[in-house]
Amino acid sequence: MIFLVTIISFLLLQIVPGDPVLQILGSHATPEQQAILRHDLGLDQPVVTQYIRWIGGIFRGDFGKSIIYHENVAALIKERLPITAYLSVIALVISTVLGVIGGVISAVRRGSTLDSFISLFANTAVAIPTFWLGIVGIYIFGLKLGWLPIEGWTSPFIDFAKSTRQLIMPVFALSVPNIAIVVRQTRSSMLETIRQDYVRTATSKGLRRNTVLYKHALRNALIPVVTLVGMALAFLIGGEVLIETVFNIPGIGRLLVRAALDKDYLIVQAGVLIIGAVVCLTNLLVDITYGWIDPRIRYK
Amino acid sequence: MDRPKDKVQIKVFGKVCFMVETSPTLKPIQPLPLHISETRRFLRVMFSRWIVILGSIILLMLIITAIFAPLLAPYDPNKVNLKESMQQPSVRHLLGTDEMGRDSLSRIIYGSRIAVIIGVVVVVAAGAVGMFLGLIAGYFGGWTETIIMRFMDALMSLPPLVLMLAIAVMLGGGFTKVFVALAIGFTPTYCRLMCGEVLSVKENDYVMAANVIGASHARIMFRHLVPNVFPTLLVMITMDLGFAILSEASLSFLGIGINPPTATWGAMINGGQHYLLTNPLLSITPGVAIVLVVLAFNLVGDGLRDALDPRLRGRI
Amino acid sequence: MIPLLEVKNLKVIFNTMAGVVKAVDGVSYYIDEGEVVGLVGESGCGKSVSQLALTQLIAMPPGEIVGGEIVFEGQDLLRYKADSKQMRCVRGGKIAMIFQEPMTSFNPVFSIGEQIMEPLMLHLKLDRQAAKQRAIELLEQVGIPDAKVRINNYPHQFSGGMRQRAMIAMALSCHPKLVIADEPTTALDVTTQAQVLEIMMDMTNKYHNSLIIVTHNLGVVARYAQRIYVMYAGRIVESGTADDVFSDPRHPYTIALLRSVPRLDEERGRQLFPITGLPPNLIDMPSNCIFKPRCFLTNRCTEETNPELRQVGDNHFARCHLDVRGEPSGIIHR
Repeated sequence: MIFLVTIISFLLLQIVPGDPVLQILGSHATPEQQAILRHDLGLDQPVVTQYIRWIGGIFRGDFGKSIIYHENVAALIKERLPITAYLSVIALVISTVLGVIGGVISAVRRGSTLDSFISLFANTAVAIPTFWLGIVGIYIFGLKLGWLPIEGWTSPFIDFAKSTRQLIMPVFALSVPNIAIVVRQTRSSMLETIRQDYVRTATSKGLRRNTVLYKHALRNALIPVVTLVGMALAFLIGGEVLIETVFNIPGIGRLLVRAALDKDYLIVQAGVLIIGAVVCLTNLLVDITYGWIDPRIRYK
Repeated sequence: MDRPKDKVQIKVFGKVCFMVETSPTLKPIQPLPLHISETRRFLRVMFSRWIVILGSIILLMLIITAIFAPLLAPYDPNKVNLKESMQQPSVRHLLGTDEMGRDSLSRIIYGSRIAVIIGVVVVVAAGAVGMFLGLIAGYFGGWTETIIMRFMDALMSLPPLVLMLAIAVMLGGGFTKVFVALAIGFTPTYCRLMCGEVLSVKENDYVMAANVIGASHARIMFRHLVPNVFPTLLVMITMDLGFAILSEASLSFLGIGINPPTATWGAMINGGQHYLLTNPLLSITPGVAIVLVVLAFNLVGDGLRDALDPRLRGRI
Repeated sequence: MIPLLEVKNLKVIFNTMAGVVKAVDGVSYYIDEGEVVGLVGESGCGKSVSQLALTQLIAMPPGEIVGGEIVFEGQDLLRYKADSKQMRCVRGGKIAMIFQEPMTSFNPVFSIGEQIMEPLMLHLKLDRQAAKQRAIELLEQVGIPDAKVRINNYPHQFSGGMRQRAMIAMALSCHPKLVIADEPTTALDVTTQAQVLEIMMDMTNKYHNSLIIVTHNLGVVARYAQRIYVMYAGRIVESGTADDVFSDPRHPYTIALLRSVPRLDEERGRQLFPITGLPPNLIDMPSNCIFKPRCFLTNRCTEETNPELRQVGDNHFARCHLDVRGEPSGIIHR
């Protein structure tokens, strides 16, 4: 699986029109200079060889040198990855927890005003562009009300309070669409579970309604939601790219965007690869967890 | 059904009790299902919720705006007029002007054109390519299926935005490249859908069609495939139309894709970022447009889903 | 003797998009302590709904209990709210249900033992240890081998028949006065059906509870039930002792039902006699006899009203205008 992701990342390089060599050297370079650089970069070799060289480099931890920044790509990524990860994980946890709570309330009190409100929110929030929400947030809370800082990043290890204040808006903007997705899935899953026969059996044994709902129904209803977590992470990382740009947070997303605009293809390749790998790993973890919580799969 | 008038022996457990005349026809009472026409039922279910009606109205407005943009927009969206730059909303410029003096309202109206075009082209392309690949994968099975599906899985495991970003940029900017990038991002879902359907149909009819020549395979599959896949497909397309617009907006916001001065909603939000203090509407209004449009697509998609497959009802 | 349960004129409706469905339209029956009663009818006649209504297990948004009384041990159960303490006390503790689909009636994420222990801890106030012991005993009583080990297994690790036995064990765990078995064997294959029924009757004999068997299978009730109610389109059309109903059926529907069952001792190749027509639309009920369209005596019947239950024998009632007589169906073995 990851193998394929590497292929895709590499293919990206191949479709670049224009010549990276010219890009680096500028259009005034002589043919000799071009040839030298081309040889250095290995661009004069057949595609497959280039791919193998690149993969080989990765195993050694060497992603190559950035064309623009003139630094090791690996180093650049290492700097930025934890930041993105931090942000994503927080957003993931918050959106999952809030989403599940919202979805359960909505399903249990189906038809009530609370349900209508939550459902409406869920429908709308999916349609909101994260970056726009970020900008609106900046405007309202940063500029007009002055409550929160409008951009920047401080490591939580250095100054936790400041870091948290800076993160409130980005996390909020990032989470909102995801909360909606989780709410929708949880609600429909819960509604479906409530209709099941075993819920009726539980009621017929004389259990309280709350016990029936939160012990019997919920555990079953959450199973499909777990698989959603993997997808949610992918979705969140996508949103990260935008949020980091809006709030000026030095994470992988922003790096990727800048590199893409500057045609710094090595970074883009590496970035796509890393992100893809992370998502694959998460999905793998989700699959394992899924097998662990559902006895039907556990005891196959 | 006509049966001749009969004398029938009524036997209870083998012993004759008595003989009766049976009536020639026994009309059964109307069965429970509704007997109004399919179309009426469809329309009734789909528009039974007021928000679906609202969504449809918004979509209608979108289409009208996109088609009649030149008539509706008060100004030329690209006309630069530095004397009137950064105006607040006024009677002359309902939504104000941007830093180049261009009327915001007109830009938003024209932006709807791009939105609609993008949505339609991307989804149609993704759908066509995806379904074609899915068909091949499902039909031929074996290696073909494995390769194609694995490839799609890999594509899906990347966050869509990242994927589209990378592709769009690598191909260079501009109109067509953005389309390709977006389309590639949306393709895997259609491929998966189609492949799954083909596989299940194959399982059903393969035994029957085992000794039939290849052409009949195709016809059987077609006849079973289309009605099965159609409802899900329609709903998926509707929702994806909205999400395609959202994705394009994200890319434009980042500066990738459609070049200025063409007004797309995403680019407008990007441009307006820097002027939040003076004229926040520049960034806010295009966003509102996006939210309304994507929401409308979602709502209509929900309505379609309710109407096409009652089993999916109750899921938001 | 006061009956354990007396249902008087129960009416249950469902509010659907197509109209109001009268699922149960004025059903009255009773059951004494220790009796076994059969409730027979085709699919959709309202027999399951009438039983679910006893403990208010019907989904109340579309469903609604709109009339009647359910007098159990002297109390009208309909006076209790669905989620009230009294109702919950009755459910499982006094009235237990065995459902049709053993596959889906158990929660897949909890072990069978856990699910049997729940009512034990709730109604009998046992602690976990004692409940577990009791659960193991119960499983052994219903004939599940290796109960000590299997108690920790999950539902999907049991076969259909064993699941149904576990269901029986669970229902009887708190010594309920009344057990309702809703199509207990429909989802099982024939040999398992016989086993499960035997177990059910054994347990009933052991615990001396009353039993209502709801089924569309006449053979099941012929063997075990003392009294039979025949339902059609939400109403009871014939009631009486099993002997009476089988040997002297008085309603055309009962007669037709009995006639439609093929028998081993008949000549081979004889024509099958299904009941022609379809079950009625429960929304638009006609004002005359509901069975009329499918009744083979329809030409003889000139009445335009809905027949009432008429007494046709000692504790034998039929809802028909005519005086129909059928022949004995054979000797019922017990």
